[in-house]
Amino acid sequence: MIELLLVPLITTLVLAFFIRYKRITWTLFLAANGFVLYKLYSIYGIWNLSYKVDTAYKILGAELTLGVSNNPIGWYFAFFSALITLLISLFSIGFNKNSRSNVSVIWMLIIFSNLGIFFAQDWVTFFMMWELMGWTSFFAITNGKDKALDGAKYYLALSLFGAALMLIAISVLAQYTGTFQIFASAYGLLQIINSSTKLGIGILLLFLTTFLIKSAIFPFYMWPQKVYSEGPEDYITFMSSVMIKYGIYPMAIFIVPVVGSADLPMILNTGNVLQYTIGYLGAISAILGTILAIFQTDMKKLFAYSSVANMGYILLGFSSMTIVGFEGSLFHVVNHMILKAAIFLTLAAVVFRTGESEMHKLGGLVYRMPLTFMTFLLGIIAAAGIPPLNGFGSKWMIIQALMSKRMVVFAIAMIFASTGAFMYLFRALASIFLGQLPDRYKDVKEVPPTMAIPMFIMMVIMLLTGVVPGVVMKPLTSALKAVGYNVEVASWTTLEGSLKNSVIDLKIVFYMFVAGVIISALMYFFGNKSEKVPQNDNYTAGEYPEEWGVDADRFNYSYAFYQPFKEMFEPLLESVSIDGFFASIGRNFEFLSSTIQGLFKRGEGAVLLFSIGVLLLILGGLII
Amino acid sequence: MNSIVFLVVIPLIAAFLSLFLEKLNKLAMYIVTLFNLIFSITVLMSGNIPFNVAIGGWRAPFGINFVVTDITIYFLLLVNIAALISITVVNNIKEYQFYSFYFVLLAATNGMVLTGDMFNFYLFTELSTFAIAGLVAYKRDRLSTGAALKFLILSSTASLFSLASIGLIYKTLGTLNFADIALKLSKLNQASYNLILILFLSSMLVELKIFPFNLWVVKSYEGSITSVNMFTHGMLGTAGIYGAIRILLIVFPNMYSTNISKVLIILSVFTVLIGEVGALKEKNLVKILAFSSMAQMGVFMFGIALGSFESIKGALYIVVSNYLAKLVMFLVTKQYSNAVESKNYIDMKGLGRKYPILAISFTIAALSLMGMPFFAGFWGKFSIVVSALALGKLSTIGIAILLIASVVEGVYYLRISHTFFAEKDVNSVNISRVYSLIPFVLAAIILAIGIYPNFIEQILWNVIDEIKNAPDKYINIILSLK
Repeated sequence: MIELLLVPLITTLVLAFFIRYKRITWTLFLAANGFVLYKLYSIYGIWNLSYKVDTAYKILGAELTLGVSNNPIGWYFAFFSALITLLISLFSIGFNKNSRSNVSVIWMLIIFSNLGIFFAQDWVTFFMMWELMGWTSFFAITNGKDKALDGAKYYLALSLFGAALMLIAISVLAQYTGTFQIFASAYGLLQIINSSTKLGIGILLLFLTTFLIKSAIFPFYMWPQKVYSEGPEDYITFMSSVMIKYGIYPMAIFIVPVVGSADLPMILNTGNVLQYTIGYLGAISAILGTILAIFQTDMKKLFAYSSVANMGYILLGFSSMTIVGFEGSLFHVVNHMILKAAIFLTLAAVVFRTGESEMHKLGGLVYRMPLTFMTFLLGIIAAAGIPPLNGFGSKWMIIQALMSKRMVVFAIAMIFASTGAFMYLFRALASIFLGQLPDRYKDVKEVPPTMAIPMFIMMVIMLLTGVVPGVVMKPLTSALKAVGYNVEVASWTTLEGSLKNSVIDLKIVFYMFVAGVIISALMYFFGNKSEKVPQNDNYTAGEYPEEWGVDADRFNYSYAFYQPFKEMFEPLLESVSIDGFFASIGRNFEFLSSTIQGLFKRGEGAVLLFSIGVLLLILGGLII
Repeated sequence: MNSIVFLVVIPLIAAFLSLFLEKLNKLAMYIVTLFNLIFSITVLMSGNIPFNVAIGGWRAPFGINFVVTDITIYFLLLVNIAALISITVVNNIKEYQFYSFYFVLLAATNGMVLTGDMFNFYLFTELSTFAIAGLVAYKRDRLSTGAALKFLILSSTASLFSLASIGLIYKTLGTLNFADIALKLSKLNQASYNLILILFLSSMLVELKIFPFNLWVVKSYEGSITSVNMFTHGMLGTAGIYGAIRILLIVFPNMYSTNISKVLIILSVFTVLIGEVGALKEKNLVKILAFSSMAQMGVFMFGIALGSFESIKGALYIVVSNYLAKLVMFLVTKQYSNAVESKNYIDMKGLGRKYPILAISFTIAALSLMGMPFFAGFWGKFSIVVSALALGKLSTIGIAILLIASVVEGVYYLRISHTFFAEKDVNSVNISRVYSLIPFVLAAIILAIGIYPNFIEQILWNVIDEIKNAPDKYINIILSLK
């Protein structure tokens, strides 16, 4: 067990030593990730593995013990994270050939902290790893670039704030339950909620806020777009696909069981108050993320908001508190991990070749980077939730769960968001890969093989999980069974919904898809011969551009893509300006800072303030 | 162990001799400091602790006495190690005044830690503040003279109060010995007790950098050279902390039954808030460190004012972490600011890429101050948070504000670290790699404590044990009561 944590840690030190030799560091990085994946694979099913460190440090009258143990849900998260991380690190070897900074050292430290989070046995270990993840991410995001500092600072402030809330929550919980163990304290928290509801819900909300911050749910949905647009692209791929799920893991093992079994006031006999709170946060994130994604012109920002929306789906699945919804959410975690990694890898490839991330400045890259285009296409089909790719199954399960619990509002939110997803996904496809190829990108080439291979593998994985969801659902359901949920181990290709007659066999869906492909192929081969049309023919819609005084050969319609839609939603977005609120907090702190500096700069009235201090002490000591 | 007096006497003799030594002063400085350090280590190793030295054969409580217990020896070591580390950055100073003041400071801070009675504590405090004021003014420009003057005015005001409280103690109890006072204070009526405590606290808080007694801090840090900053932090600051622990916790333990501890909680929360927020927009690295040291003292005071043994342990962790971290930071600041001839941290951009060990040490120190896990500061923060949440509403609100302030601290410190590692060409800059050694070792200690707290935990429990069992472990030893 311990070598799983030790290897990344030692690798970090070795990487730090070789930081100037890029080839060595990135190869080592890949090797370490490979080891982690292998090790995780080998400990599957051995749930009693654990490792404990006794410290002499006394807290709450007892000596603190830190421990990690293999737990099924943690394994599920860790394994798929490690798989995706391995693919990304393969991509990184080629990607970082020309970069000036080397992010691998700090990235390895983040991987260490992540494994610690998933296998932490007690809250103190969990907290230590959580904080480690916060500040290491800050350095990974900035990576020596001043441009990235603002976003990174925003992220850092939020994550430190979240960690502070969690520290309070842990301490209060430990005081009342007498233990730092995660599973034991979940049971303890349930009892606190049943005996003194206010305190219990307070503790729960403190925890929840921390996790919401890390998974970019509604009031904290701003950081992904700030961070993703500036950070190093390969690390951002990791962050958007893997790291954003770290808030989901503790929700799955701690918040959901507690909320699901707490005895709280019900709303409409469908779910309790907290369930609805989580659900509304998820619904707002899903809708807001989708709408904001539609308006972006920067492709990385677009997919950052898309991540927010997807995190919203996961929360919606949790809010149903049914086993199908829970499974659906956890399934969606992995699905989103895969498809977001695929999409961000293609974006990284585009940035690698063109150096541009504004979508309206790109276009027509399909001619130059066909493999990247293919990966992106499959990625967005998966993201839109269209079978036979992998995004479909989990969304379907979540909607099933919501409908079966009669949470219609949430189901509508989910469907709205999924539909909106088509808009922004198509927009990205059209602006980046379709349309005309700008002159400056005429010499752009396809990415080198080290970057192409992981993208190809991503395609295979997306299709595989789409057609055979059992590759994820089997480990997931066995993990849930091992934890004690009452579930059947899933079959390879069928998914069970929670409504009547809702079992679908994705094999059949795939056959239908293949049949469709065959029919189209037949039409293609035996139909009329295709005719090559000059691009301008269908771009100008029958008009002659010269008559309008425009140059015929260069059009780009991808700026202000959804202008009418934007005008429609603008008033709504202006009224929900969380960003402005956070920015004003920052400004107020800076204003206060100037005031304090003024006080200390001149230092006048030192003795006066001294006397005031004495008076305060007298007030405290003699009068009160 | 009557020779313990040498710790004070030899630096004092050196202070006189420094008038005539001229070029040999620097050598004398090393010799005396090393002597003090080695002597304190031999005392630690001798196994005689605790012991009590009655000077001139007059038994306590009638005579002057030096006491060496666990707390004393640890703080003695801290003071002397800080002295040794600080003098490594002294170079190119020829004036005998500097050395003279330094020796006085060394004698005074050692004396503060060793002494067993109130009046000598007061005398040594006075002596050290005068020495520091002289050292601050060493640069002889407008800023440092003003800063020294400000410090002098504030500390003389403080000494007035402390003298008044000593007078009151002598009048009411007829004794000045710590142990004797502690024994007899319980018989005093509450009003006199509070008055004495308030007067004494007001003078203590100046040195402990608690708002609103701390207006000297930023200016004097800004106006003085790095070695003096390190004296102020490592020697005077540490001795002041010793005073707070010895006097507040052992001599005046009844403090927690009055409302004064609550006022202290409020004041320390304000100190933290002001320190952290004040540093947020600051660009001058030395001033940032000054604000941050204020804030750290606020956290320490918060832990002390809470009064549970766990929170005191947390406060001691904060002391250790702050002691090490600030030394690292001053050393790094010294090297970097010398290299670019500016104290603005933005000018130091990119230096961490060329001299990574210094920048990494700085980052480790910063993370420790922020209370990040795997660094020494975390254990302190954790203890304080856990015990504050158990101790009622005021401390809960206080700890919430403290944690929010630590977010601000994280933002400004990591921003500096980022600037060190930012991309910029710095080929013209040259720093000798030798200077990386001490910061690296100190940072490694911070990391070691953070990862493996067992060793330091044992020491801190010894300290707390002495506070807990003050009658057995301190009072009876001095008064030789059986």
